[in-house]
Amino acid sequence: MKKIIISLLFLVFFSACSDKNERADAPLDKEVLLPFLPFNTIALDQTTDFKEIPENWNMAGTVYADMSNEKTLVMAEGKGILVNMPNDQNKGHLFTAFDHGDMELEVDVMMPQGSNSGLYFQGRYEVQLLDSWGVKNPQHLDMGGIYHRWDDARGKGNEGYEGSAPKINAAKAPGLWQHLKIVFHAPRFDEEGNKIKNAKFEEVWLNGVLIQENLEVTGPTRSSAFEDEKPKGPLMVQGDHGAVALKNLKYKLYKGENVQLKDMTLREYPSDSVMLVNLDSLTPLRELAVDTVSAEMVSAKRDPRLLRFSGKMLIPQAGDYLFDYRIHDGGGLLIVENDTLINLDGDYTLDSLGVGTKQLKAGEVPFELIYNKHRGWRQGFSLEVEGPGIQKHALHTPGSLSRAGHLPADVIMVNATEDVTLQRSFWIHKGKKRTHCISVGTPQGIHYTYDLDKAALLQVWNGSFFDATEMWLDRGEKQLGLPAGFTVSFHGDAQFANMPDGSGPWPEFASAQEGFKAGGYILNDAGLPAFHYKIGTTDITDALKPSSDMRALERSIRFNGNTGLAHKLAEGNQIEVLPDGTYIVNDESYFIKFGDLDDLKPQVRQSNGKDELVVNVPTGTHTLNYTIIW
Amino acid sequence: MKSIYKIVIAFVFLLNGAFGFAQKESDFYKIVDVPVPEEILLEVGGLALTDDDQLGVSTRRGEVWLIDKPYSQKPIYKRYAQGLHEPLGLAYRDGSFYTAQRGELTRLEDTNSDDEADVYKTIYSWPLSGNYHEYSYGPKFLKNGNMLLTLNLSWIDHGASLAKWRGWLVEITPDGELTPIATGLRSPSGFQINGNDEVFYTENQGDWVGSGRMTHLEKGDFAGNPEGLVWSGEPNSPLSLKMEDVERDSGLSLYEYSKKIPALKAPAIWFPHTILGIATSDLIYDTSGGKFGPFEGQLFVGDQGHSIITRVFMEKVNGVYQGAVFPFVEGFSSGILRMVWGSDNSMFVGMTSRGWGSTGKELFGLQRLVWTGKTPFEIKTMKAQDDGFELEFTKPINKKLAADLSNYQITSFNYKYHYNYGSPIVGQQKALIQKVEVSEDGLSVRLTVHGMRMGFVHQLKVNGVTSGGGEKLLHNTGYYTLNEVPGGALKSPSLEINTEGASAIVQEKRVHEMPLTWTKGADQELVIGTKPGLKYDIEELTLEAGKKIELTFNNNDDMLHNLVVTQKGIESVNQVVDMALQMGLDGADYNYVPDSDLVIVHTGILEPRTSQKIYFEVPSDPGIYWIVCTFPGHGDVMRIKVTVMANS
Repeated sequence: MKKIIISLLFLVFFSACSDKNERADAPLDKEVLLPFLPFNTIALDQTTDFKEIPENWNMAGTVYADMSNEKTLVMAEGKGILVNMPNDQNKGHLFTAFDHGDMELEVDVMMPQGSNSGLYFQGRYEVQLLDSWGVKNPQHLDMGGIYHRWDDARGKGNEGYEGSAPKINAAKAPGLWQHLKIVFHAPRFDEEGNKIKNAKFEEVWLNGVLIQENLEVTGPTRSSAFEDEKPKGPLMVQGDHGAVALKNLKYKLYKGENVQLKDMTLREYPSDSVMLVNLDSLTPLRELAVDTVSAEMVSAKRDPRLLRFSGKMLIPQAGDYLFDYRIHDGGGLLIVENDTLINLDGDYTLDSLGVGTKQLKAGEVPFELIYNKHRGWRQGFSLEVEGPGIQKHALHTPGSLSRAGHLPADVIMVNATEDVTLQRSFWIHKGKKRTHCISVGTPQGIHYTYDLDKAALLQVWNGSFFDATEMWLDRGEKQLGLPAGFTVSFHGDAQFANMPDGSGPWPEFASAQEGFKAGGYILNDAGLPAFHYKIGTTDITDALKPSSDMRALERSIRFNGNTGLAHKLAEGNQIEVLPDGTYIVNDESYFIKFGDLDDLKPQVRQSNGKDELVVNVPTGTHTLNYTIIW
Repeated sequence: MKSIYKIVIAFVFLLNGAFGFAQKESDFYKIVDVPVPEEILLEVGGLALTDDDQLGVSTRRGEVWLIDKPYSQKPIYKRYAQGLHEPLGLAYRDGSFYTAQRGELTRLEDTNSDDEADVYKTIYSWPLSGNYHEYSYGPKFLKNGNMLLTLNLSWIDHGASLAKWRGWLVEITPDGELTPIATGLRSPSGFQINGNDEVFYTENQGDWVGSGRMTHLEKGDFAGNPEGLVWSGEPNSPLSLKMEDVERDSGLSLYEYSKKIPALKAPAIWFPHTILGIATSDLIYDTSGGKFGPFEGQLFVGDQGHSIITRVFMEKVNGVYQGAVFPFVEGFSSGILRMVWGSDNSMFVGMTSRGWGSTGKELFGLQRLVWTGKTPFEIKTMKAQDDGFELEFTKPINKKLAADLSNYQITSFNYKYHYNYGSPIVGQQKALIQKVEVSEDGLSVRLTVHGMRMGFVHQLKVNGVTSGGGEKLLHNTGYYTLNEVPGGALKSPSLEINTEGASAIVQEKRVHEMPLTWTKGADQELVIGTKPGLKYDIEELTLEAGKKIELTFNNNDDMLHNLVVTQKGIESVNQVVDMALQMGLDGADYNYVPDSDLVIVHTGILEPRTSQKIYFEVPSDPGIYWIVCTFPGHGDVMRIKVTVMANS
């Protein structure tokens, strides 16, 4: 056990030390294009980014929550994580050394049981951090809520006002890393210093779910560090209400400027082919001056057409600019200063990434945008730009994408409010379509999707059950089911493998193994399925059940036969085991807690730069029980 | 008083006797609704009767419903299974249901007797590419206890086999061993196994498929669409034919081409497109022993597009199946996909039209076809001779009328076998009825025909005959697919007629060139496309009187369509649609547009993903006009309401 912890600490140390988010030793097959410019990272291994750090805040290399004591974090020496453990003498707040106006922030936080903290933007406007696990109807004071304002003068019982509850409760279990992404806009003032616009939380994302949108705050929220409002202020992390740990803190500061368009002309051509031809050899159908770019400018709504926008961008300041071009079932190009920055020449959907970056000088920059609407009946594109201190914004008009997407009246939802509901469908997992998937919805509100072909648990989620619009609207050309709620994804590889010596890369497909046979499933009295497989001579029964008292999925797998197998429970950037034997899987961040293991031994092995949690199951009869908690 | 009534009645009877009185299909076969509770979306994919006389229904929403008392007007529905992926078939055996979902063959069993399945056993799971067109149908049981399934091709603007065994008929044992049997399938939504374990399947008009058809499939057969041949190199494939071996446009009919490639199997029955359906689906044998009328041993075939059931008489000549198809019953409520017998010899008809549209306007339905007990006067069978045809009737015929040569017409025609979507009628030629012999008992008539052609479809029209009791024929047309003749050699003399069919047909209202008088060009350019489900992409349009319009019609669908602008008023468009339906075999040559003053302008028939431009001036008389697709079966639903405004 000690060896495992030490080696895990070593690995954690390595990852925490790197400047970027990815692990330095993780091999990458190809460069991953991201549709946004890099963030500034606050490396939590020095203190220059903060004002004087109070004593209750300390650097750590690893941290976990003590599940038997409230508000307690246990940390080990190192760098990369900032941990707050207040007591009666030391409970100061943490302030950044810099002041910010408009800002985009991303951070991972860990809340121990019962704890309470908050992120105060400009030291004034709080996004609440709280252990809200299990809360059915979240309030403003729950995780991700915008805390309310307070005025004693309003009279007893009415002092608290405004505030905004998160749209859904996306808070994970205490002791798990939770990811926040917040886009904040500071209040605006005129030359005399009068406020002309309120502060606003444009977006607050918690664990991948948008929980606040365009939420205006009329003034500082309760317990803020300042009573007034200003164009800028420091970021504050509350230190006096409870323990909290932070890591991967990164941000971008925005100046509120946008890229403008100037001297624009539009030439419209008929479109005869999916691939672009030399446009200079064609005669345009029409040519006119415009002031924006939009797919709506196509003059014949159902004809295949090609739009060629030419003009200038007004670049506010020099630096790296990122362009993001998405097309709804069509093709196109973005050319900036004679550089073809984005090449989507062909047939692309809105899911296809069209991103290009270029260093530009301030002033006028010539560009050309080509939109090939080669399918007459599909229309739409978006073009966004991000720059130094310039938040990503649209250059296209809102109507440019109005014809992509479903009408609300066409949405078909499947619910599981009274009984367990099953539904097979195609499913997208990590960007790829899987064709033999079944989703199980339970009245407890905990649902999961399982790939019957690969014998793999794909996703769990919490909320409503299943969006079946892409299956049953007209022909249902996509036949895709979509989860309706807050999801956690798993590795998606085959979960059972016949690996006699336990080494080598884990197989991707269950069906690729010799002697694999999918047997279907059998429902129990509650209507929950147990999945049946055979690998070699071993029968496997895999049963999943929602926990009745917490957000967790209980799994019981029975093995019986003469073929020894291995079961891969989880894969992550880091898998660590806590003192009580619970495993924590990052970066998706969830717990795995074993039941009675008998003679089975879980182990963490490294493969392809990732950690894998694996249990070897020898021949004979064995049952493996564990719970996935998030 | 009374005697006057008697005289009147006798007079009426006499008149009817002289001209023959017509009857309706519902006098003989009634369509009865099976009530469906409002909250159940019974989009029928499969039907199977259980040993307890309950009707099992699998639906495209992934459910299996068990209907108790399905013959009554108060049936009781219980949901037996849920969560399946578009099961398009259902079978019942020994207490279990079997169904083909998109991705697997599944056995459903209720082991704790609560009328709900708790076992969902995967018998065989096959790969899918994720293309929506990869529908899987069945299963049906062979005598040996194994099951047959048919697998649709994928669709990528044309058919393709993107996953293993798409486009194939396969046999699967209860233990999950798969054997591929035959290929060349494109859209095999219906198939049946007869008492001799022989398999017949139906095909829809599409790429490589000139018209709907039914083929007898044997091991190693290639039914026509070559995309499935991509798997013919697999170790257990029963044929070695490759896609490259099939010419994309030989100019021949399928029958002629089958003489070049032994593996190619010519269809037993052709269903002439738009005349007897547009989307051939399920087929069942009349095994009622005479309790469903006079057609014991024949087949009934459903159509999803036209909501009709046709009747097929088949015979085996020189070991080859062939026969005739006749109209039977029309007017079902939605698109027919499945038919199965009830224990009372009524026929359950399961329907769904979501995604495609059908003549029956409901999105789904379940009905029963019930024989009233009365025998209709119909052409019962049509059998091939080496020099003519023999017709049998369900009742003795009026011998005098039956002996009149002029009461019979036979025209033969064919379809091209090529990679294009569908085929126009080619080689149409009238045959000559040289002699008629009526049998002593008046039940059959032997026609001696000149101009019969091997491999052609022979349309028979019988006019002016009545039964001995004065009834007119309920249906007077039939279509015989002639693959073989008894004795092997055709003795019908050929007729020297130019067989190239219609030369360039001129339709004056099909205007593809801008009129020279439009010196300043068009006033307005319109573009109209299509949406799936028999729709244009707009439903309403406003135009100004007198304006010059250039209209581009884009057929984005995967079916054939046209675009016709009709004169003012709802009666005009309705009449044009009716006239188009009556155009019969010539219809395709005239793009299904009748020669009528009610038509203002029209396009030709457009293949999928093609485009045509037409030019016209908006009429000067304000009011409501219509744009309509007159392709048979589309005209009632595929319309645009055009409001013509007076000039401002």
